[in-house]
Amino acid sequence: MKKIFAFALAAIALMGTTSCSDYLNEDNKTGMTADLTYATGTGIEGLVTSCYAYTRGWWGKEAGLGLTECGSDLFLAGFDNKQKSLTSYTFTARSLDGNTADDPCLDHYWEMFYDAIDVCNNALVYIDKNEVITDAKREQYKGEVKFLRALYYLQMVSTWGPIPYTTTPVAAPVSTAPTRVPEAEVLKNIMTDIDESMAHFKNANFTQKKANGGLQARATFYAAEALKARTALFIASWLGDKSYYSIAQAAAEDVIANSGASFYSRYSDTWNLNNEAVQDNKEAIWGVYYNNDLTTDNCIPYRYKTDANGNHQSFNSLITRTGYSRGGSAMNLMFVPMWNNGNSGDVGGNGTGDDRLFVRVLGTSTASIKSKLTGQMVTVDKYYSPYGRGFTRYTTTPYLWKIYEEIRDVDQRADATMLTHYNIPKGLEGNRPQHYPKLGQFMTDPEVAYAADGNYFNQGDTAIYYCYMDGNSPEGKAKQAWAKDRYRIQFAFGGDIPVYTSGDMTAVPTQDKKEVSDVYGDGRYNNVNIGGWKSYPGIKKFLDDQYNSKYPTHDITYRDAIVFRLAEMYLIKAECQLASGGDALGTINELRAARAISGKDNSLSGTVTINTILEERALELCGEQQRWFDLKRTHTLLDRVKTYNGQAAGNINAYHYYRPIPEAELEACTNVITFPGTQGADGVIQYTSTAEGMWQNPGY
Amino acid sequence: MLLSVFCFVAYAQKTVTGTVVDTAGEPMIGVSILVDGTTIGGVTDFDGNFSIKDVPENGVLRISYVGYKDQKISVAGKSSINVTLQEDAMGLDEIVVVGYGTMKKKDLTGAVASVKQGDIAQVAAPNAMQAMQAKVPGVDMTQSSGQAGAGVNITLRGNRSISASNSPLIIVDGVEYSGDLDVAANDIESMDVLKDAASTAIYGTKGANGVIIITTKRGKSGKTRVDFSAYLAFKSPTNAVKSMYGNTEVQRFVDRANYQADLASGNWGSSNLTYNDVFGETTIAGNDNYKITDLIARGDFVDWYDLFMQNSTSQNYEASVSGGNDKTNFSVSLSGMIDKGLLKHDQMNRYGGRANIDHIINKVVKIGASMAFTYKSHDSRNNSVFDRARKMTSLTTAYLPDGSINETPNVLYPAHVNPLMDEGDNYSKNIETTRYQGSAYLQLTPIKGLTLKSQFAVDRRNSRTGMYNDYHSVNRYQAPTTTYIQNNPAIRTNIDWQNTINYSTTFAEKHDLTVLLGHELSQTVTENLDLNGTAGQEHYYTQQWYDVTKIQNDVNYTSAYVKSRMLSFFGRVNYTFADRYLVSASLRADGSSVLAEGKKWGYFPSVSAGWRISEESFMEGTKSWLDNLKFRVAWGVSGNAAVDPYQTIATVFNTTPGSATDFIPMSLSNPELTWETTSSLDFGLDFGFLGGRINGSIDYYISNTKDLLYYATNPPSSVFTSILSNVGESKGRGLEIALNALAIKTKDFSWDINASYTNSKDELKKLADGMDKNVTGTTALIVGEPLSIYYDYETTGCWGVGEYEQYLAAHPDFKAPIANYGTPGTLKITDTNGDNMIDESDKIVYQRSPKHIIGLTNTFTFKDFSLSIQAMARLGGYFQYAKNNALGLNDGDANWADVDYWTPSNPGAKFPSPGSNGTGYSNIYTTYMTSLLYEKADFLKIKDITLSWNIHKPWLEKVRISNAKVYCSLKNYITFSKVDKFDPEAGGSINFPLAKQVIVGVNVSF
Repeated sequence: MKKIFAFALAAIALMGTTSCSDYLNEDNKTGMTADLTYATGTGIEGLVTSCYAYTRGWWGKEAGLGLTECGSDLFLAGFDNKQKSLTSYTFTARSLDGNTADDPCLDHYWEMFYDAIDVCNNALVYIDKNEVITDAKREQYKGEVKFLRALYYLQMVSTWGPIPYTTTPVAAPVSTAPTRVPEAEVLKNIMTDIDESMAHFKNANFTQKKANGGLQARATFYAAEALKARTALFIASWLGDKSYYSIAQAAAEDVIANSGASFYSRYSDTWNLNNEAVQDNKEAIWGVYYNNDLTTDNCIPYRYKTDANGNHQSFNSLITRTGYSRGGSAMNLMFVPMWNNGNSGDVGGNGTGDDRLFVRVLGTSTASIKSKLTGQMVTVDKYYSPYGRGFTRYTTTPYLWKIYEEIRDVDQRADATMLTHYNIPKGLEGNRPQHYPKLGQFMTDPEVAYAADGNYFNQGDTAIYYCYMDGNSPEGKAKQAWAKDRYRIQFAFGGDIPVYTSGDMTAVPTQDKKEVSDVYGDGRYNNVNIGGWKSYPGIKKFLDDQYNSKYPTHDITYRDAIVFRLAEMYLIKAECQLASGGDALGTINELRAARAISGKDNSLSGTVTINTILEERALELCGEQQRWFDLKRTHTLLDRVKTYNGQAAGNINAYHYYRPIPEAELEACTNVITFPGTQGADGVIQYTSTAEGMWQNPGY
Repeated sequence: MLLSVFCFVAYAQKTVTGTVVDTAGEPMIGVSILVDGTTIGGVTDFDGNFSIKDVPENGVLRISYVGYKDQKISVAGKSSINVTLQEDAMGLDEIVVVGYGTMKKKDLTGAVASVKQGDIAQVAAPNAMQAMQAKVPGVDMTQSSGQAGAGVNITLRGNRSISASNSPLIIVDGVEYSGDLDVAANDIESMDVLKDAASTAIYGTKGANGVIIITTKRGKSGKTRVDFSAYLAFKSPTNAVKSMYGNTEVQRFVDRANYQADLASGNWGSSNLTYNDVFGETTIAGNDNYKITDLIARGDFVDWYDLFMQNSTSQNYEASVSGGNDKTNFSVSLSGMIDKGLLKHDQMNRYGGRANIDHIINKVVKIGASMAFTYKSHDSRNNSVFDRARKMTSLTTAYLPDGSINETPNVLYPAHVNPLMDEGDNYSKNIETTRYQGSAYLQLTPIKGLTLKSQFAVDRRNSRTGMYNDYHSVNRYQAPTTTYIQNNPAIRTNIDWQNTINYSTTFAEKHDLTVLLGHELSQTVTENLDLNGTAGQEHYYTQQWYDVTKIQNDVNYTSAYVKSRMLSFFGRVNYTFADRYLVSASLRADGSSVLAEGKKWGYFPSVSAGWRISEESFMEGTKSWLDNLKFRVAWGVSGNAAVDPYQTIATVFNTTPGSATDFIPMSLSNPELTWETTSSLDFGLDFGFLGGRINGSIDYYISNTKDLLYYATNPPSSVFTSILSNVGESKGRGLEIALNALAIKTKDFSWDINASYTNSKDELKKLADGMDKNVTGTTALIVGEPLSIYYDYETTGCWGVGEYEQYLAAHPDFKAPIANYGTPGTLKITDTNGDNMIDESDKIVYQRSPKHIIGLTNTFTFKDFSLSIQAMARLGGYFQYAKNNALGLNDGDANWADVDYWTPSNPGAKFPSPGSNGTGYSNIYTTYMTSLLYEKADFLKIKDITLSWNIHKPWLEKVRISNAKVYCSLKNYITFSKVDKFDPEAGGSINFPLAKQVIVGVNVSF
C-alpha cells in the first residue's frame, strides 16, 4: 500500500515536471506546410504552374472582357449584360463582392491580382531555396514567374494607375498601410522583370517558339519579348516617354523575325477550334491554356480571403464562370444573340418539332429536327452547336460593324469575324411555310462550305440575316423585297425591325417589338426578343466552330485565350514607326496582305494616323482584351467613346482613364490621404505632392 | 512519517443497530449511515433497519438521504438508536457536484443548480439533459427537430462567442463528454449546472460557456436493488406545414392567370378566368387520358404529407441492479431504446451497458472503475423529401394506373420528382456509432481529511456514416442521374488522467478549510476518412455503401488526423468561518498544444464569497419564519477553447479544387492566437421561508468576453484580407430566479410549485478594428446589437392598386430600388430611414435570442396519485419561419405554402400575387423575399402533463416489489404561439416537425 501511495505521489511529481513543451507540441500529419512542400521537385513545379492559374481569371472570362473591351468604341451592352454600369460608365468605387447582376468586379480583380502577385513572390523565394532542381530548371522557373509577375502588374497599372507594388511574400504582421507607387516607377519595375525574365529564359535555353508544358502553355523567351513590346509601347504612348518606341519596335521586330510564329493563309484557321491550343496555333506567341477536359484544372484558385468558418471564398462567378466544380473559357458565350429562342412567331421557337427551324443542341434528342417536307429527321448538331448559347452580353457598336462591312469584299477578316447570318441545313426549308415559303432556295452544300472556311457557318441557306444598311434607303428596300418570304432580315437601322435606333454612330440597340410587321402585315415580330439588344450579328472568332458531341452548345469552352499574337507585333511596329517617322503604312499593308481575300487588294494608302492604327487594331484584335487599354494609352478613350458608343457617350469623363480603387481597399487602409495630384490634360495623373499613402483616384 | 498517519484508527470498536423512519413514521429504505470522517457505514434495509460494525466507541453517525436533512448522532454509550429524518425542502445539506469535487449546497458561493434523479428518470427523451428544460434558470434549451435521435440546442447564460461554440462543457463522471449525450436516464444520479465564472474557472479554457456535470449512479451497500423502467411513446406530428391542397391550389393558378391578364390590361380586377381556361386540355403526367380539369371536378387530389408521414411508436427499456456491502459496491445496467421519427426509415436504435464498481481495500485505499458501452444505429432521412412534397402539386396522381410511382407527377413542372421516390430503397443513410468509455481510480485517505485520487479514463468512439442515394432517389433523379455512394469511418480517442489532492479540516471549531490541488492531462485524437463517388445508373440496393468498389466516377477521398493535447494544473481553497462567512478562490493553468510556442499557457482565476445572513445572531428574531438567507458574490475568469488544432500553423492550399500537386501558401499563420476569455461577476441571494416551504434563489450576473476570435480586416492588396485574430469583445447580463413553493401540504394532498425565470441579454461590443458591422446574407454581426440576430428589410405586405402612385405623390424624391417596383400585388418594402431609397441602410435588426424564458411546474399529489404539469414560455426574439419562404413564386408552377396572398379583392395580404413572377417582376420577389420570413418566436407551451400512480405499497410487498409507478404523459400537446398552429420550439424549420407524444411508462424497483 505504501508502495502504491509512493508511486502515485511520484507519478504526480513526475507529470508535473516532465517537459511540458514536448507534450504540448503540435503534430500535423495531414496538413501541408510550405517549406516541406516546395522543397520537392513536384512541389516547386506545382507552385510555378500555380502562378499561371490566375491568368484564367482575366483572359477568357466575362468580367475581364468587360474591363478590357467594353465601354470602348467597339462593343455595346446587350440585353443580359452583367456589367451595364461598367459599359455605360455609371459604376462607382463600391465593392460589390458577390453581385453578379451588375458588377464591374474591380474589387475582386484587385484582390485576385494581388493574390497572383503573392504566389509569384513566394515562388521566387522557394525556387531559390529548392535544392533538388537543376540549374536550367531554376532559370526557366524564374523566367516564367518574372514574366507572369510583370504581366499581372501590367494589367493592374493599366487599370488603376499608381498601385502598391511589392516583390516579397506577405508575412505577418500584415500591413494595413500600403503605398501607391507612381505609374512610371511600376512600369519601370515591370520592364526590369521582363528583361530579367528574358535573361533567365536565355540561360535556360528556353527559347523555343512554344513550349508544351503538360497542363500549361508555358511562357518562353518570345512570350516575354512580346510582353516587352506591349509594355514599352504602353509607356511610350501613355506616359509620353518617346524613347520607349524604339524599345517596343525592336522587341516586336525580333518576335516577328525569330519567334517562329507565322500567318495562316486562311484567316479563319486562326480561330478554328482545331487550332485552339496555343502550342499548335501558328499565329499565337503565348496564351492562357484551358485544358480540353473542362475539369477543375481550368478553375482559378479560391480567394485568399476566408469566410467566417475559415473556408476560402469563391471569386465572383463573372470571373469563375462555372464556380469551382469545373472550368473553361467563357468567350464562346459573350457575343451570342438569341438566334434560336428569340422569336417563336417568326422562325419558330427552340425545339425539334417540324414547325421549328432552330434548336439549341444539348444531346442526341436535340441533335436533329424533323422535316415537315420529308418527315425525316435532319441532323443539325454540327451546324447549330457552333452558334452557341444566346447569352446576349455584348453586341457590336455600329462603328465596328461598319468597318468590317467596308472591307468585306477584299479582306477575309470581315466574314471570319462577324456572324451576320444564321443558316439552316437542307431539309428544314419547309418547316415555316406560313412565314417563309421561299426559304431554302439557295442551299450551299455543307462540305463545300467547310472546305472553303474550315467551318460550317456558310452552309445551307440563310434564315436570319443582319444587313449593314439603311432599311429605308432604296438599296435597303430592294434587299427587303428580295428577303420577303425568304428569310428574316434585320437592317442596322431603318426598315421593319432594325438592330440600332438610327444610322448615327452613337445609335444604341433597339429594345422594341413590332406588333404588326410593316412588310408582312402580321404579328410575327410581336415579341421583344426581336429588338436589337437581343437580336444582332455576333462575333464568330470565339465560338466553338467545331462540333464536339461531348460539349454540345456548351456553357464553357476549352479554347485557349491567345494573349500575344503575331499580328499584334506588326501593329506595335507600325505604331512605333508612326511615332518615329518610319514606314507605318508599309507595315500595316504587310499584315493586310496576309488577310486579303485571295486575288483582292485590301491595301491601305494615304497618310497613317493614330486612328488608322486603332482601326486596324479593331479589325484584327477586337474582343482580344486589349481595346480599352489601347484607347487609354493613346489618349483617345474619351473622343472615341463619345463618337462611337451611344450607351457611354453621355457619361464618360476624363477621370475614367483610371478605374477606381475598390472601397474595400480604402476602408481597410489606415493611411488614406487625399489625392496628392491633378489629372493632366492628357488624362495622366501628375503629382503635386510627394505624400505617400493610399488614395482614391480623382473623380470617384 | 507515513506510519504516524494511520495511528488514529486505534480506538475501541462496537456494532450499532437502529431504525430510520420519516416524519410520518414510515420506515425509510436505502438511507446512508456513515461514521463521520471514515468510510465505515451502511444503508437501511427494507424495513428501515441498519446494523453497522466497527463503529468507534465515541464515533458520530451521519445519517443522510436525498431530500432529507442530514443528522449527526453520537453513539457514545449507545448500541441502538432510532432516527426520524426531517424532509429538507431547501436541500441545504444536499451534495452538489462542483469541479473536481463536491460541496454541500449551503456552502456554495457560486451559481450552481442541480437536477436530481427524480426529475431525470421522468424525462422520457433520448437525451436525458432535457430534464433541465425550463427548470434551471439560465439554461436555454430547445429540441432541434422531430427527427429520430435529434439533439437539443443548449446555451447557458446567452451567447458570448461569434466564431466559436456557445455550447456548455459536458462532464460525465469527471471526464469531458463529446457528442450527443447517450447516457440512459436511469443511470444518472444527478446533473449539476455550473453557471458563473467562479464555478467554471476551475475548468479553465473550457468553462466560459458554463459546465454541466453529470454523475452516474454508483452502488450502495445494503440490499441488492433492482430497478426496471420502460415506456412506450406514441408519436404524431404537432403541426406539419403543408402546401396548398386541392381547390386552394386551383384558385392560385386562376388568380395567377387573372393577375397576369390584369397586369397586361392595366384594369385591375377585370379578368375573370376559370380553371378551365387555365388548364385547358392538359393531362396528368404519365396518364394521358386524365385531364387536370377532370381531376378537379372529381376532387381527386393528392395530400403528399399524408402519404409519407406516419404516426410512430418509440420504446425504451432500462434495467439496473445495484448493491454491495461495506467493502464493495456495484451498479450494473442495461438499456435499449428504439426511437422512431415520423417518417419511414427515420429511426435511432441505441443499446447501452454500464458497470460502476467501488471497492474499499482497507481504511486507506479505495479503488473503483466505470465501464460504459453504447451502440447506436441511426437511420436518417433527408430534408429534401419535405421540400419536394411542399413544392409538388396536389393536382395530380401519386401513382400511375398500373400502381407504379408516378415519377414526375407535375405535368406543369416535370423537373420536380415524386417525393415518394425515397420511401423504398432509393435513399438510405445510416450512422453507426460504438462508444466505449472506461475509467478507473485509486483513492487514498492516509489521514483524516486528506484524500488523494488518481483517475484515468479512456473514451473511444468509432463511427461510420454510410449513405446510398440511388439514381432514382429524390436527390439524384433529375440531376445528376447517377447513384451516389459514401462511406465515412471516423475514430475519436480521448484519454484523460486526473490527479487530485483534497484536504479538508476544521480547526478551532469555527474554521473549516478545504484545499484542492490537481493536475490533469488529456489528449484527443480524431482520424477520419471520407470516401464517396458515383456508380452510374445502377441499383445497388443490396450493397448500399458497404461495397465502395461500385464507385466508378467522381471519386473523392479525404482523410484527416487531428491531435490536441492539454496539460493543466489547478487549485482551490474553500474557507468557512463559523458556518457563516464563506470564501473560495481557485486558479487554473491550462497549457494547450493548439496554441503557438510561447503562447501555450493561460491562467484562469476566481474569487467568491458568501454570507449566510440567517446564521447571524442578530437574525435570531427571524428564525420563526426565515430559515435561510445567503448572499453570494463571485468573480472569475474562464475561457472558450475556440482555437482549432493547427490553426496557428500556415499551410498550403490546392490551387484548383482537387489538385494533388499545385499548392499555394494561401493561409498565413497567426501565432498570436489565444483563448477567448470571459470574466463575470455574479451576485446571488438564496432564501428559504416557512420551514423551507418557500425557497429559491436570485442571481444577477454581468459578464465581459474579450479576445473573441474574429477576422481582422486588412486591405486586399495585403492579400490576407481576413486573419483570424483575437479582436472581438462582447458583454452579457442576466437575471435568474428559481422559486420552489410547497403551497399545500396535508396528509394526503400536496401542491408543489417549481418556477424558474431567466432574463438574459448579450451584446457585441467590438468586432474588429474599424469594423462595426458585417452582414452575411440575412444575418449580421453589428456592434451594439445582440450576438445572434437577423438583419433584413421590413415588409408590410403588398402594394395595392394605385397605392404606389399615391406614395410617389407624397414622396416625390423616392427612387424605385428595382424595375417595376410598386406594381400592385408585389412586395412593399419599408423605407425605414426615410431617405427615399430602399437600400442596405433600411434593414432592421431582428433579435433571435429570447429575452425571457419562464418555466413553471405544478405538481399535485393526492395519496398515491400525482399530477404534474410543466409549462414553458420563451418570449422575445424572432425566427425565420420557413413556411413564409415556401412559395413557388420563383418556380411558377411549383406548389406554394398555404399563405394569404394578394389579389385585387384581398389587398391586405402579406404575400405577393402568384402572378407577379413574370419577366421583369420576379426580381422584386427574389430580391426582397427574405423580408417575409420574420415572425415573433414567442410561445407558451404545456410541455408535459404527467399523471402517475405509485402503486399502493402494501399490495406490492406481497410480490416483493418495493416501489412501482405507472405513469402516462402528454408531451407537446398544447402550444400557444403567434404563428398559427405552429410549434416554434425547433425554430423556424418546417422540416421534421416536432412530435406530440403520448407516453405510458412503468418504473419498478425490487
